[in-house]
Amino acid sequence: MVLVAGDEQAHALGLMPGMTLATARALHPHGHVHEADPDADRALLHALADAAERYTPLVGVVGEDTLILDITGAAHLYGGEEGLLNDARERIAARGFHIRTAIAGSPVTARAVALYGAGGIIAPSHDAEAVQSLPIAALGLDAARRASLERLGLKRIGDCASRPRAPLAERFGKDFIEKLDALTGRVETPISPRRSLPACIAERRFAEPIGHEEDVRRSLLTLAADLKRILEKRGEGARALELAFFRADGATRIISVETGRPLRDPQTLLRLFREKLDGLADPLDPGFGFDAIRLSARRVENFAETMTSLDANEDFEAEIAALVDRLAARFGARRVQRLAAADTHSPERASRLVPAQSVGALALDFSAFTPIEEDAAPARPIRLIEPAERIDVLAEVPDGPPIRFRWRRVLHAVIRADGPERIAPEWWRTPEGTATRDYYRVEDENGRRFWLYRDGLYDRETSTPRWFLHGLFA
Amino acid sequence: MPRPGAPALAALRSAIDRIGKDGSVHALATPPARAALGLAGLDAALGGGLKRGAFHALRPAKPGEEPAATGFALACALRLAAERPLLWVRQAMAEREYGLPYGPGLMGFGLDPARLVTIEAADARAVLKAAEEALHCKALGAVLVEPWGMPKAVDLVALRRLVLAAEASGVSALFLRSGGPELADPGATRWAIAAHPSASAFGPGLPAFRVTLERGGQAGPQEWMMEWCCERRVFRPAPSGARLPLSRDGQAETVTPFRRAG
Repeated sequence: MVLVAGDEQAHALGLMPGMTLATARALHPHGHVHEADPDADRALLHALADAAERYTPLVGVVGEDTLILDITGAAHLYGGEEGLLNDARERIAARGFHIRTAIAGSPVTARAVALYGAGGIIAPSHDAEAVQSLPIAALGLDAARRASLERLGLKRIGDCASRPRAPLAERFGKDFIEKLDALTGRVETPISPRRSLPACIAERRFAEPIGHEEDVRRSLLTLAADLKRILEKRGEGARALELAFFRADGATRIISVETGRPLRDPQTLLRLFREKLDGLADPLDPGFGFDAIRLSARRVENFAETMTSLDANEDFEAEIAALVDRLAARFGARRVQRLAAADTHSPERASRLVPAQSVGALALDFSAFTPIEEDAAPARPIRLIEPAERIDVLAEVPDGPPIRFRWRRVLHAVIRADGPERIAPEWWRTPEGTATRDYYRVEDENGRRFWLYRDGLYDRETSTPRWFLHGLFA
Repeated sequence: MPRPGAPALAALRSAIDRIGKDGSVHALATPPARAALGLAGLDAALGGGLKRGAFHALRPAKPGEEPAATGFALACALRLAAERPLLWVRQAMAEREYGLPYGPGLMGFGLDPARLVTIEAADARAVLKAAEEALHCKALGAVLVEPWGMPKAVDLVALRRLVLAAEASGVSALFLRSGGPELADPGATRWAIAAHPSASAFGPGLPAFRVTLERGGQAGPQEWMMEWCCERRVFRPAPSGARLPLSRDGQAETVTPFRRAG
């Protein structure tokens, strides 16, 4: 076992990452040792990234320990870059973390200055100078190349940056030059954000953190109204929204909802969030209050201006869509469903339950199964048991309908049967050897109606056909 | 097989259904206070039909009759909804037992899936919450609520909330539950449902039910046999007699009359 990380005290005692546990124990037998948990570390870093979204929605995670924030246009809210940096340091330190910070023109420079240099704010377009004195390690090269650079006496970035580039590239690879250029700011490197950027946002910051329900409600209403104005200008409505609550103590809660059609009406939006909030297993806790709330539209769509319809049906549809959104917000989008049809002979593929918010009207066309005659019995069951359940069947002849069958330990005598309806497997979809099914509609002595099938054609595909129960008729 | 004319026919039929006896056409927006089921005697016992904007409790008459009870509840929902959309609140457990709603079968039953939204609630509490929320939505025709078993969450207070929601919005609630102890449901009617042998000599026929109106009838509890005409979406009396060849001891003979199709 090897040490992965140590606290300040451990470092002071000379216990460094990479040292074996046995050596560490030999040096300091009384130290506390905990097993490393990389997953928990990652989760923690992402929780910090959530909290960092208070400064900007564009937050990137690099490696195991770095957050990169694009603070373009955000610093003025904190009285400048220094104010923002101090605010971030204080918040993180208040939660018991050590933090190294830097602000620079490019993310790579900022990271290097924070990790290998003194940190702080690098004045605009001074990236190249700021990294001169950093050790070669700041390039993030593999150990072999780093060692050979050091053997040549190239110990600092400045030593390399002043050399002719072509020989360096030849000796140390093209990516060496690329890394060098990124570090010195010669080449711009974008931040790869953790999450896609929202289409538009509305946010409120509070000098005094708010915690009262009434205050929060009022701020949400203003946020929703702000967002509506922005969406109106863009001619769009939101399909996916997110509310981020930033607590004064740094804890962050992000709540998202989706809608079935583009929305912008503040009351409707807030109702969706209310449903979601009411349904949370772990309710929103204001603690000592929120000092910022942000409402963002993460996905938008063109918003078709509709006039109040004279057709009552269309009004119904809008109301149903709103109901679906509310139910989806509360119970989860995948639990609110509609039936979608598929053009296939395979009974289990012909109908699927799909999330109601995502289904188009075309998918709902089952008109092929419309009852056509007044006395025609339905050919398909109202409920499908999938996967079909194995049943024991007694039939008079091997390729005839069943006389008796046992399903879930209950014996049913077949009084009426209709069939077979032969359904061949879709050879282009099913593995070879999938058998043809002969379906029967049967009714037992109590008038209960079932949909059964025999798997495999007797004599041609199998000599001992197996039977299954696939559905229940009303 | 696609039958291009069928949807148009169904639409026409529903338009005709909206024409009253006096020749007036009632708009989709305001269905009459009661929905006639189609059986003269039963409708009379109900005072003109099943009450809209009310809570109706249904249960399978005995274990094993759940599919019949669901069928009867769906049929009632179709009568009550008068062309408006339906919401079916299911509980996740129930489908392991009785399967998932099946589009082709529902279409064949007379319920166009395009009119149906369904919720698969995680537990009984969620079933009740979803049902209540849905019952407030005036655009719906009926809400079919199907909790699993008889969970504690389903108490009189919870049911009373559904009754009030249905009465306030005019959306009908059909509350179908299986098993569990009896509860004095607060609704307008209460039904026990069993499957009824179908009338056809060959193969199973139209969905048929033996239904006991346990409460809400004007003449005390009564039993009715009926079948559901899927195409016209209306009940009619189950044809009597001409049922089954019964052997002398009253048991159905094991000889199976069947028809070879295809």
